[in-house]
Amino acid sequence: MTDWNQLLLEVKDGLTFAQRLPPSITYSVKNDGVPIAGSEKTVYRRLNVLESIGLANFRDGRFQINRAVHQPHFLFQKLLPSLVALKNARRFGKLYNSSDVSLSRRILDEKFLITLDYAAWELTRYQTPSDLYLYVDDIETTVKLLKKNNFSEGKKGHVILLPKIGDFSNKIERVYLDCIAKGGRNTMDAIAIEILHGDKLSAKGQFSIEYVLKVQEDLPKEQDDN
Amino acid sequence: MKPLIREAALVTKDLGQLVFIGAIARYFHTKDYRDSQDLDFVMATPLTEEELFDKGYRKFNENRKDVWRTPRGIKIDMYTSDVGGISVETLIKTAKQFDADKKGTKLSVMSLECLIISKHRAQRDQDISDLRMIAHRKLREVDWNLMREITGDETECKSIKTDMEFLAKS
Repeated sequence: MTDWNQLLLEVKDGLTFAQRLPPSITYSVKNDGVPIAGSEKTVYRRLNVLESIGLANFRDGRFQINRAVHQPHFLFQKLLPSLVALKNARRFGKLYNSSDVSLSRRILDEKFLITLDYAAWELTRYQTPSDLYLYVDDIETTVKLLKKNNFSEGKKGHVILLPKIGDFSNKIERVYLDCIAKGGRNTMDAIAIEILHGDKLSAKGQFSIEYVLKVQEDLPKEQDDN
Repeated sequence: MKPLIREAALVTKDLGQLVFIGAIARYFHTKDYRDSQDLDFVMATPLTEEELFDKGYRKFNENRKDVWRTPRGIKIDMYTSDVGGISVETLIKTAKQFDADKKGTKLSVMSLECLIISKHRAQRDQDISDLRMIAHRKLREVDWNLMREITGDETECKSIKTDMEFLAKS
């Protein structure tokens, strides 16, 4: 069983490093990382730790940081299971279009928990979903079942299996945390969930006011009026 | 046809010469349909409020802000000055035509280069996701000379290229 406190301690220096970087899409190890970490060796040590939980990726002297690193410390412990699950995600496709989503749901006989795109869509009707993220009890058995039905594993499929790690007692909160951990467009889903289901969340993330206003403005009218 | 594409075709029919940005541009350039359900576009010649009312468009006060909706209730954002520092003239001049359906309905959409520049300048979380997707699917189709011409800045162009090449491999 994962000791989340221990993991948080292990990533602490990496988080501090990432939080000190100015906002950018990608960074140079030499020009952006070294002035903060002190040496190239330390930059790579920090990046390796962050990469192990999906908060950074790096190659050829450049790196990118998942903006979830800017979430407050009290939320971070709750984010770790989502980050680790996403880091261990496995992607599958057959025809590589939306029909894969309905087909996989039939094959797997609804024996899963949906999160991210499709779960957020169910909760908010804010952004149309694209990828089907599924928490399954036994990844290997599920992989076998998908492969038996001619799904292939790779980088482009729309069906993504995630190991069930962490707490699922509050499903809305888990979807919310997964959205924050995934970042990107899913950050907007997290904000939409918070606006519409804030009373179901025990901990809330921090988002820029610009994002919150954008989501508030673009939420479907009938939902917004509720 | 996707509901938002159908709506974009109807809005073009209603309002005349438009160039779609936002969700529609993202869809036509990447074929990924993941966005909020609103339409953003630039207009060469802005219509008056009266002309919009005559065409069945309605203005509402939502969250203390004026929001326009199509006769079918879809939220629209009309841009008449610039988008991410790109002038309306440039957006219109470089726009691309896409088939909305198999019956020959065309939609005018901001160019791939303008889409990348506007997202690279905005750098919001969703813009970075979108740039990654564009990098994976369209990097080879980017016209870097046009990009240089639109940005008018060699340093910005280089920075976009560096970021896009990194995102394409991530």
